[in-house]
Amino acid sequence: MIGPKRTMHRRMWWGAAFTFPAILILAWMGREEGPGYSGETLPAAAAMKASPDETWMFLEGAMSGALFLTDGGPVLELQRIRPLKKPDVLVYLDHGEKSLLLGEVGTQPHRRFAVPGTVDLGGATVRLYSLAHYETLDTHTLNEETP
Amino acid sequence: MSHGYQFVGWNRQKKLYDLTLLGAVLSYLLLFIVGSIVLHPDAVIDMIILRALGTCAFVLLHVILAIGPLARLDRRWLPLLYNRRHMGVTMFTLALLHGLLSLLTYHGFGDTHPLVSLFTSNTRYDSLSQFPFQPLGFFALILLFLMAATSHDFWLATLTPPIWKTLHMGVYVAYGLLLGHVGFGFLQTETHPALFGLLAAGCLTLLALHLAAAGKETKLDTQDGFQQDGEGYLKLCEVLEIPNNRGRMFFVGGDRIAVFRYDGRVSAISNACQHQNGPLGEGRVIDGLVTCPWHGFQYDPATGASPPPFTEKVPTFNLKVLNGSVWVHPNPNPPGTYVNPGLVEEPGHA
Ligand code: HEM
Ligand code: FES
Repeated sequence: MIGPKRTMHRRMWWGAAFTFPAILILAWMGREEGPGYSGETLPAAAAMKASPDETWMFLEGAMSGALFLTDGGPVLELQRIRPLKKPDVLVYLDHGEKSLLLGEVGTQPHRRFAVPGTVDLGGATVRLYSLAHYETLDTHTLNEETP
Repeated sequence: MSHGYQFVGWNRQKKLYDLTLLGAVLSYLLLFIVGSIVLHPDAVIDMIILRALGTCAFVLLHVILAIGPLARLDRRWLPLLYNRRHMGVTMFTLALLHGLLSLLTYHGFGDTHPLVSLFTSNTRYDSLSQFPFQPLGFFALILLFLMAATSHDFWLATLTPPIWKTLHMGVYVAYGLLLGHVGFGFLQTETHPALFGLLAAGCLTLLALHLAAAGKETKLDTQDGFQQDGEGYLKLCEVLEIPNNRGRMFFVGGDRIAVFRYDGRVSAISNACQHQNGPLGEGRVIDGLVTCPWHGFQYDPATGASPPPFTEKVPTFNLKVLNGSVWVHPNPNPPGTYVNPGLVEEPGHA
């Protein structure tokens, strides 16, 4: 008897007939929404901090960087000022012998990353790395005094 | 025979099929890679290979999912169905290489284990444009792995066809995940509308094909109102409505029956092939044996049993031919039970 299974198969496709287009519509909405940074998963205290503790420029002024030391932990903010020639940029934090991937930046104009509390920020280096080009694009070493 | 499964042995058609498949895949990869190098001289080769593998696997998955309904709608597609398994394993291999290469390039440089980094480097589950699309690809890959690993007929026999088939329906879940993987990943950075259009067209084509095939099946399964005689036999059709050496399918008593006309005789057996439940009624009678249209398993129409050394058996149905009409009893006989074929009273064609 394969009748019931055939029915299940058919039901699955009816389910798919609604699910698949819904996925497509959501993907389209994502494109419309465009790269944004609302609702980043950041420590709640990050929003309270108005001025950064340290700022710098990346890539000859194409991107700005800022470090906020908040009660909830450090937050790294990267803001694209001009379009990048190489937009596929990963952000690493090199500290000691270790290298931590924070996320991707470049296609979005503005991103914030929460830095895990385990990272020793004093003398750590923020590194922009182009995946497609296999090269480090720029680095910035944080203040030695940063806790 | 002692073993519980039978190989669909190597033969010329199969080798030809595999060679064509391999040729198509390699040509695609080569064209993609050379084309990308010419069009984007700046791009690095790793990225191009990653994309070539990913898109090739995804295109192949569309082909795999389209073959089933296409074969139901038009018999000319049946040859493609014949060895779909190899297509599936090829697709998985391509997807695996794509996944491994992605893991290495995107997550291989940090101090976090790549598999941990895959799930922790992006947690924007609240965002559509930055949705963590890579875990979607990962879960799809796991599903595809389970199916590729159990694709051999040994697993079909070990797991039994119902469980095996259910497992392999996971391919639709995998497809849904990949729709998200590509839609929330690649298509958020590559914003050319044509690329989105391509994805939507692929998805909608698959849906349309499956719904059309399902519609055809539903029509068959809602046949009703067969005339019944005192002994419970149902009048299904006229003998001459069945082409010689072919079958017709009927939906009777909650399941499908295939009625065949061959050598001036008529027999009825269950429609579901023992191999992967292929529709026997869409097969032909070759050398006096009903031959499954999907992978060629054979059954004696009078007994429902495969010829030795094979041991597959399907249920048979009692049948009689009266005044040129086929009457079938809806209660199945145990698989392999001999039933006297009805004789076709056809002048000059006995
Ligand atoms: C561990 C599993 C996987 C990982 C980590 C992964 C990762 C990725 C990444 C990072 C991209 C974006 C690359 C780019 O920007 O060009 C991508 C794209 C893509 N992936 Fe996957 N993927 C996985 C599994 C799969 C599977 C199973 C398939 C399907 C068969 C697939 C099909 C695609 C396609 C069609 C694209 C878009 C074209 C491309 O960029 O390559 N992926 N994947
Ligand atoms: S389903 Fe494979 S031979 Fe019938």
